[in-house]
Amino acid sequence: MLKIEGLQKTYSNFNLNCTMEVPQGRIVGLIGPNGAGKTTVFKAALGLIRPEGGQAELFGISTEKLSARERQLCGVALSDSGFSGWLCIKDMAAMMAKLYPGFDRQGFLEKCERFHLPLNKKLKEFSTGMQAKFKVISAISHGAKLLILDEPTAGLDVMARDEVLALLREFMEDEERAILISSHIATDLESLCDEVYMINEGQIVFHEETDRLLGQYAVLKVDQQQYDNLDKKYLLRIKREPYGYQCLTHERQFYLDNYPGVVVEKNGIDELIYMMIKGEKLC
Amino acid sequence: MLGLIIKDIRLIKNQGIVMILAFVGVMGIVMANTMDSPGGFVAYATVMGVIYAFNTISYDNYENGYAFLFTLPVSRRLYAAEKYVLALLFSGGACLVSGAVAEVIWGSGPEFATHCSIYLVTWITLLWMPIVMLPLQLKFGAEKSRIVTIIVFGIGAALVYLAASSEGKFVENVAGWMTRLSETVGEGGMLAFAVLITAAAFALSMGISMHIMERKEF
Repeated sequence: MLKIEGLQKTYSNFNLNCTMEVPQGRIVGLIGPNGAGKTTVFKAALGLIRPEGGQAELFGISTEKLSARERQLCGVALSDSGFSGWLCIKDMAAMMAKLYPGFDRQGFLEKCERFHLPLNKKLKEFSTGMQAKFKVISAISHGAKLLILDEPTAGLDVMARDEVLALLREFMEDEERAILISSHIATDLESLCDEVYMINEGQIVFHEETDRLLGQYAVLKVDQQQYDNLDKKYLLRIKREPYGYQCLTHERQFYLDNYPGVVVEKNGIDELIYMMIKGEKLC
Repeated sequence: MLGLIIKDIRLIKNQGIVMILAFVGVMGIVMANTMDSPGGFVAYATVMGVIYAFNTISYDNYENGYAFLFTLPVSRRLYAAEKYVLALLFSGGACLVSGAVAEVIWGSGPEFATHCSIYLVTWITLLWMPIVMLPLQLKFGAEKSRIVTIIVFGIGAALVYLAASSEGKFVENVAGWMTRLSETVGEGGMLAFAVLITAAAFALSMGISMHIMERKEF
């Protein structure tokens, strides 16, 4: 559905060089530290910036040549931009009914009421959480095939986040759909995504299935002697610590079986980001 | 385009349309007591219509709003074109409604046809506001475009002053040419000529605005 190949974009102190794909029926997470290039990838995928090299395609069409039809198939929530704050939900419903042939006005208004969003209040008077909910509800209410969601759960409390994630899972009950999502809340992505890409300083540095990431990746905590005796062929990154080393591996079972004295901790996305950014690659 | 027009009309409505209409109405009553002709009131109302069309650009662009707007099924060319349609609708509507109100306040009588031609000329003249200012607004944004507009009008005024004070008798030549044209084609012909020039400038300005929007990144 979304294919990005060798996409390049340069700003003053930043170079993006990105290759990734969002296939049909999949939820793909894009993770990385602040300023890594996630929003630039989203903007390129939506045709908001002009790439200097490479290509981004939505539904097989270059994002620089997207027509209204392709855009109608795309539901978007951006972290730093949204509908005009001087409009209310009823205004938005009237506008979207004209822009999207597949807009489900009744369902949209019902979802807004279910999430306790006032229909006649201006959007700029909404709390951060209300705005986040509204963005997601808008994105899923017009028959989109692909959702592109930049930090959709930012500012939401744990209950509201759970409700939003439930909406996204409901959206994915149709296997012809797909989602590209970024979030700073790792547990959201761990429970939702089929696969994750990690971006750092404009480069994709990691791509893995979420099940494999959570099941087979681990962080080893070893002292100097354990580290010296360790078979290092399955270590992806190491980081020096006061007690010795932290080591990221993608063969957890190998170290559990062969090094019973070593502390092997299951890792999540947060630990992965930390080790990929702060750790050193072994030569 | 209809979706965008609905959005803009609702944006204006949410600014307190009743207050706007009341203010324009009060201005009409004040002007009726101080002016002999309704032309000033109609021009004032038409300018207000144009300005409200301009204001929608500021609302769209506020807090990086363009980025999200152009993820909707709206092309950048269509967005630029919609602003021109909006300027036409708002200025034309304001001119029409204020003209009708003026006829009630000032009274129609035998001068109705003259008044109508004044309103039409007023509208056509004021359409040069969006012709000049919409590309500037879209290129530089609401704040910077005000400065650029002052500079553009300053340069225009300086050129006219230089032309008028030159030895080539530029102003006399232009005035003479206009008089001869008027004698040849009559008042109706002159009006048609003005409509034609304005329409051509309008189309050119819209093309420039479309190009500006296509070049932008968000």
